[in-house]
Amino acid sequence: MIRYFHRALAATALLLATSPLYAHTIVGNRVFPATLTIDDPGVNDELALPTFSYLQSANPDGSLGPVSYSLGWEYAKTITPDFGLSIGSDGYTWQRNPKAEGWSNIETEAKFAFFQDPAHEFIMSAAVSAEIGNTGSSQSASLPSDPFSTITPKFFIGRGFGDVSADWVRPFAVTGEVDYSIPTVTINSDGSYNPTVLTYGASLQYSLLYENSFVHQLPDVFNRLIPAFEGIFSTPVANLGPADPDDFSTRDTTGVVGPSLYYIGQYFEIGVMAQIPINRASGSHVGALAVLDIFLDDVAPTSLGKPLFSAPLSPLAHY
Amino acid sequence: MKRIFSLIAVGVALMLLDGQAFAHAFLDHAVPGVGTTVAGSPVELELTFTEDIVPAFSGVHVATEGGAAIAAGKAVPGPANTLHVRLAHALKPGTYVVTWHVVSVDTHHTQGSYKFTIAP
Repeated sequence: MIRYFHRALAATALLLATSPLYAHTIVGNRVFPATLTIDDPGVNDELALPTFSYLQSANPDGSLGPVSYSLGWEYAKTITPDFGLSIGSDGYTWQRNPKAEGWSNIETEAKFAFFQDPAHEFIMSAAVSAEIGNTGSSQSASLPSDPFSTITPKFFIGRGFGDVSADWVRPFAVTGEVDYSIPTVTINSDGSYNPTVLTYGASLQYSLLYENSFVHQLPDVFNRLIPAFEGIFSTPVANLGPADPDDFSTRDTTGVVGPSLYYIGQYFEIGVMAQIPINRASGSHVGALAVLDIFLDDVAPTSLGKPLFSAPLSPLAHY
Repeated sequence: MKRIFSLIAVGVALMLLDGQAFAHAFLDHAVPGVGTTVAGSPVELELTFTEDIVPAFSGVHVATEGGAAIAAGKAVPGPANTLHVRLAHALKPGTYVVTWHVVSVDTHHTQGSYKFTIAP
């Protein structure tokens, strides 16, 4: 049972470790919200506080595994309009069955939006993040953080379809993210392995915000909403360790999919999502994700919310 | 947990301290409405944006669906981020395209277009 617990915990940790940084992006007339499963494709001045996650794990024998609730945060700062740094964490996790709690490691990221085409609402970005080992709860805590660091190169893409002639298509947009997480320690002191993990996810969005402005005017109650369907998956690809016939395979892909809904306010975004595990190794029941994302570029546009280095914008300049 | 609540308090304080929104201005609503069909010709068009705009760098252009320009006055600012455009003549039944461009007070430029239809 303890072994099951450790495996379930590892699966949960894998999902939590791949949880996103949060921000919103504007390319042309497209607002890409700060999605819950993957990061949006841009760089921003924003504070995600709090992020909430609830997930119930399963054991390989079908019994109930650990149930986790976590509150995280992330602060993103633009250095130039196309380059930003961020710091954040999955924060504090409370776990039941068995009871445990602890702080997650701190994560930092440098991100560069290397291609933007406003006319086609198209953006691509690349980033490198570092989860810094031993910056969460100590190894003596009931829910210790990873004692090793993990380096993750990332790629992001976003495309809105506002340039398509068919009006019903124009509110749609897609985003995607691919990560490759490389632990700096491959084998732990207890002999367990830290796999290299490929993480990939996508979102399909239908922007009522866009529809209201450009296609068909909507009642006020709907015109700041962006419903979406999204998912994220993690596949261990190297340093998998020996298989255990009584446990989840170390080669299992884990992930969650589900519907989400975002409200874009003047100064903030609220997002909620039902996360549906794709298999038993990912979880046993429908979980939940939520975020309150504060737009610092709107809250404090002349100080905290603007890039540290940027040429003054001309009133006639396009963004 | 104390750390989390402290950070939340800082975020809320920042929101309260700066009461003005400065961001990209998108069309919030229009009269006649975006994509709507109306019974008769409007006397003027009214476009309301999501943010404060700079009228001197903003404009509105009206055309038929085929691209023929419709005579109209200059966009005149009104209260609450609104532009008013008086039409020179009553419009015949048909579909019209309104193209707008605005600059928000933080100098971000946005532009777009929408259609409305006058029923026969």
